[in-house]
Amino acid sequence: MPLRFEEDCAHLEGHCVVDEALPLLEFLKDAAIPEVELAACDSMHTSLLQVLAAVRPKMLSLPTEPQLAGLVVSLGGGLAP
Amino acid sequence: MTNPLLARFIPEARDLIQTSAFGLLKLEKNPDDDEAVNEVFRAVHTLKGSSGLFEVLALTRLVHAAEDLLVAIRADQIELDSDLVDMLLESLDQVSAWIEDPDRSESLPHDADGVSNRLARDLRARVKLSGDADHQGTSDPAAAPAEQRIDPAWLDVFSEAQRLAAFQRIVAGESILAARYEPLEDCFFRGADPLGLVLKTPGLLAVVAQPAAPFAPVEDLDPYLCNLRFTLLTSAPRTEVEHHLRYELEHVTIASVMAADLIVLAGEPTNAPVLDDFREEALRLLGEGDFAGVLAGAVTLIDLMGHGLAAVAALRWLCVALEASEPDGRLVAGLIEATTLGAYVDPGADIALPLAAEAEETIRAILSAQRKCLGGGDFGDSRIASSARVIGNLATSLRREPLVPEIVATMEASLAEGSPAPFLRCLDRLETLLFTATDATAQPLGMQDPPPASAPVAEPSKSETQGGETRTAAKVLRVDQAKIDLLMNLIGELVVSKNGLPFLAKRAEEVHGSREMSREIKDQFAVIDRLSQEMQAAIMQVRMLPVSGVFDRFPRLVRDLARKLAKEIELVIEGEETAADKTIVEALGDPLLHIVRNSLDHGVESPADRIAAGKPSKATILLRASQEADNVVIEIHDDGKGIDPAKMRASAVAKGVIAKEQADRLTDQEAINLIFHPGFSTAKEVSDLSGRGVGMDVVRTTIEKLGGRVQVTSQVGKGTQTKLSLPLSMAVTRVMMIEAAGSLYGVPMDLIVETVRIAPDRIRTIKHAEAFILRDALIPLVRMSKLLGHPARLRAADSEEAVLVCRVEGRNVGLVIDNFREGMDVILKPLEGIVAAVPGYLGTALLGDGRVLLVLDLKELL
Repeated sequence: MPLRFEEDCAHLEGHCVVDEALPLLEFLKDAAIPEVELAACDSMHTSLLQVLAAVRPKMLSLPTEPQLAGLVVSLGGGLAP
Repeated sequence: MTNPLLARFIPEARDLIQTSAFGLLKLEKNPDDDEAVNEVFRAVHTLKGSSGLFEVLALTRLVHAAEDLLVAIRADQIELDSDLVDMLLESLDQVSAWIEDPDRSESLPHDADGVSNRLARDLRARVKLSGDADHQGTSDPAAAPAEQRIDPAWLDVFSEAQRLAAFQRIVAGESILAARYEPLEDCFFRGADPLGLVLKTPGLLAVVAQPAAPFAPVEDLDPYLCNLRFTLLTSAPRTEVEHHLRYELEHVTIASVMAADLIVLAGEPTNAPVLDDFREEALRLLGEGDFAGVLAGAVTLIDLMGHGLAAVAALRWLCVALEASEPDGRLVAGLIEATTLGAYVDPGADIALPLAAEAEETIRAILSAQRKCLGGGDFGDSRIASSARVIGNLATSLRREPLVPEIVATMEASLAEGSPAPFLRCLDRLETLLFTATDATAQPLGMQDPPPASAPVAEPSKSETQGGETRTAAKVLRVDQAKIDLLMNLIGELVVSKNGLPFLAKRAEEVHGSREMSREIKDQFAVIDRLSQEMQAAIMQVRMLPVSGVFDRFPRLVRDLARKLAKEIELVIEGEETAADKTIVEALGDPLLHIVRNSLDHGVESPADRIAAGKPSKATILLRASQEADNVVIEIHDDGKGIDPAKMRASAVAKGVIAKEQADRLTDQEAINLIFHPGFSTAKEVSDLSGRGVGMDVVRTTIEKLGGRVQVTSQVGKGTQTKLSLPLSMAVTRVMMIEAAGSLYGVPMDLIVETVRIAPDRIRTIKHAEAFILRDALIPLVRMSKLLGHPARLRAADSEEAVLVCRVEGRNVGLVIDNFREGMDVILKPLEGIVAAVPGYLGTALLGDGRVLLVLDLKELL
């Protein structure tokens, strides 16, 4: 399952496809302090990147793919301290 | 070749190249022929399009360049001249060479990229020349400049590290492209994933995404409306990038990035004197080509000065530029200047127009920075001096050296006055002066000296503008020749097995006693017989090709050779629709080439000689095809100087081809025929066109092999006519069956002069050879049985001998055979396999009753 929710944290894992954008958005919207865990994410659809960019959740980890990580950081406001 | 698409592409490409070459020649004659332009353009455009299906980037790129040039020609931006036609033809030849490459393994040869780049650059240079001239003229949007310079603002999104990395690649000689991809809002619904696409871009160096508009508040956010746009840097070639982004290409802008575009000098300005010293020293070292020295100096200086200064940023860029294996002097010089200027200004003499516009901002920035410095409280002598130096450098780097003394003078005035006012006034004046001067001189500079062709590459999307033009598909099937041959063989066998039916009818009547059955079989036979004959005729028709297939190459050839030889020649082609069997038409190519080349090289005189001889300066070569009975006749006429029989005789004697007495006995026509003699060439010099002494005898051999004849007639001073006549179809050979040495053989009918029966007493023996007299001519006799190595058949002493009089190599010879049989049409098949090497036979044919007939090759036997 590419998208897994644990308390306030969304785990994006493997290849996350377009269908997961809406659940992700709904989850992040409702979370008290939205957090995402991206370390296991190999790729994501543009729509998910967009959700991250708009919501700017706290990023607990970044994808391993450097270009993707760079995009997530520059759009999503960077890694949580 | 296993790829069926490729198998279809190759003949199509062949046709397209032919069409374009043809159109180009037409265009050269009449540059205003809009239809011809369109025709060529369409062909090249289609070629480019279909080549995109295969991994042949070099080919696609070259065709693309040609297409761009044609676009410019079509838009009347470029005048089509002969040089341009040469260039385009050369490119087409190259494409053709790639396509026809016999060792092709679905990929191009290794040097293809280089060759393609060189040709494409030449083509693009022509587009650009006109493009620059066009800057001042009309700015027709349809004729947008073929190259696109990057908007430097695009690169702002990248970090200095990303820029430096790309910069490093450029100075190392790579070419870097920037692409900006702005997906449509609803692109997700069409299955697009811009992020995935972008991340998979070949050669991706850096990518940045930005929201196209500020994101809506989270509550109202629609995650399925794409609100991102991407900017990326890649080191992959443009075609590859285009190929990768092909489905989204209309939302993508691709531009090439120059090293200078990437340079960004972030940090505080500074005027440390150490920088001036460095600049001076570095420029001196640069003048000596000592890049290592400059690098060492720069590295030291970086350590010395610490971070946060624009000058140090410039030094960092400088180091990268210098670390390249072959540093770009101009770039290095600009960066050295940047250490003191605080901004990068291209120092080259060849500041092109767009650069000047870019530089304007920088210059203004420098001037205002200096103004701010001087206007501030801490005014001092050294400050004015350093400021004056900066401005002086600026003027020099912009090639406005005459302004320098004025700057120095005002600086001294300011120093004397102890106030920056005079210098500040000077700066204001300078600003206006610099820009008017830039405008006045930069323009012509840009025109004479177009920017290097390597970086800017053409705008791709333009080619899509003619989507409205559709080509009506020709109702022609492309069929492999082998399939036709197979069909023909099958029909041949059908004919043979059909001939078994009369035997069956006979058996039905004789063995089974059913006359009615026999009659029915015969009725059926008649129908099958008629049908099979029609089928045979139809399949022959399929193999018939118009001779235009061969003729079409000549306009190009004659044009090229005429240009090379500085002769004026008009080629007239008539009867190109005359059809003949494919084998014949294809085999005609080389002999015709020899003859036409001979006419061009030896026959047609130079324009001056022609005028002196009272002829029009433009020579005419006529190529005419026509059909005469069962033959196709090709005539090649020229109105050149003709063949001089006297010269031929003299030359033949001098070369020892024939003896003097023999030569004197020759008639004029026979003397002319000496050109067919192997090794005979009257040309004084061997040129690269003809005259290697292999020409005409090869022509004759080839034509005769096809069962045809060559005739040359010539009048001195008036011209030469060559006539080739060839059978219309090779498929069916008319042979006469003969009995010899107890077997049946076939003899090609065209060799047979007549058949006679002679009484044994008419045969005379001259030494060991037999001969007989036929109508006052002595004809040597050859016994076929001896020729075939069989024992002679015993016969009654007084019975007449059957003699087949044949004409072999221009001489009559009588063949003594056992008996004549009927003549018939056969499908001759060459000997194959282990019998292929057996001499003396042309091939075999199947007879109606299933027997195999050996057809003799008399030329080889005698």
